Amino acid sequence: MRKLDVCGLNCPEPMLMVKRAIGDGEKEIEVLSDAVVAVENITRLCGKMGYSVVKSEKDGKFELQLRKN
Amino acid sequence: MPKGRFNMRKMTKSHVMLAVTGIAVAVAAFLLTRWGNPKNMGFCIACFIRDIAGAMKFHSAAPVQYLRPEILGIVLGSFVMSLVRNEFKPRGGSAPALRFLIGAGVMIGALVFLGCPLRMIIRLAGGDLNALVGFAGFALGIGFGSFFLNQGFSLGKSDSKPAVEGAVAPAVQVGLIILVASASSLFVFSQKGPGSMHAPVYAALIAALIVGALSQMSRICCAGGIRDIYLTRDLTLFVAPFTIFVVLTILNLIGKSYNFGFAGAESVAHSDHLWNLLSMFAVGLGSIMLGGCPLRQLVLAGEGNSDSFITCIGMFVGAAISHNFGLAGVAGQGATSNGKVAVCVIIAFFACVAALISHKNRRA
Repeated sequence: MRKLDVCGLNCPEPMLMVKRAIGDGEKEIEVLSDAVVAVENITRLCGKMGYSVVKSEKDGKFELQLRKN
Repeated sequence: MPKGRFNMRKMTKSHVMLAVTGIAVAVAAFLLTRWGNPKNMGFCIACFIRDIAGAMKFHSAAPVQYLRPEILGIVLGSFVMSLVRNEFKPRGGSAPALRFLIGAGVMIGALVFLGCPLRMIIRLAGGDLNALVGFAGFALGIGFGSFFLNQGFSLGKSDSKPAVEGAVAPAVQVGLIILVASASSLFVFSQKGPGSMHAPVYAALIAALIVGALSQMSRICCAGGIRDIYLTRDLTLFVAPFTIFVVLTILNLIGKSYNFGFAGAESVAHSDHLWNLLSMFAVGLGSIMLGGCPLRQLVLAGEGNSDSFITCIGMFVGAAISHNFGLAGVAGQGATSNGKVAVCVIIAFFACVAALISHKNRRA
């Protein structure tokens, strides 16, 4: 499982980091983000790439568990 | 259905919000033009920041000086909506000096073309084919910027900031409203030319507040709409500019304000094709490096992003530079010699910065 910390990064960099990880063949990815926009973009990308997304929020940060369907 | 093609069955809340924002922008642009704003300039971020710079005497181009409520309203609309949605997140510290310069470069490019990406769409919807040339340049610039994004380009991470830092951008807008209401003699206002043409203040402010609030909700971005097509074949963000174009075209046809062709002089435009293309190439590339078009920068500034506010100040200074040094395009004539040199320098600067940062990040 790859872990990605995308906190503080501007749109669309978080989405591109996830896209690269998917391109590398990662089947499970954990993403930590502090921006709703990044969560929305990553969720949209996962929908297109065939990955499921489980979200949780804690202390203003979002943790996403991405898993290949 | 191939990936990336729009599918009605996959319409999401994002698509709906972007379409609603697009309709609101189109209607606001149409009505504000009817009520006095310059033709095909219902909601131009570049032109209106330029007018504000003029009103505050940062440049002395007499025809383009007016404290446009549209800009103030967009920032405040976004600010209020971000508070309501608990999305007011003060942050900053991501390459502020570079963002300032890139913002200035984007503004100079936009004023050579005579319009920001939003006005480019508004001009297209009015039948102005010069804007189609600009659109080609804009899309090419975004493609070039997307290449660097894929190569690892990033202006770096931002950090959380105190609430007072995030409140600076909205507070400046409120301060300007108070100043213009209580001491309007501090400012200068055009007696003729585009700056003298404006919708009633309250109509412009209310329309901008609505557009700013909806833009905060929908994340509308003219540059992002094309960038995502390059990067992920995703059409979601493209819904908003496409909706603005379709709705405003229909409104212009109904309102008999649609003029198809290259006759741009009457609507503050010119037919200097090469420089329309290159200047919007610079705007597209710069917008991708900044993470959003000029409208998106205003909205982010309202959400507490001080990097975006620095970018807006860069655009403000870029507007003043444009008119103080004769860089802005001349309606009905074309790009000036100084403007052509400026566009070349800006493209070279953007490309060098993008290449250097991408190279460094790939090695890291």
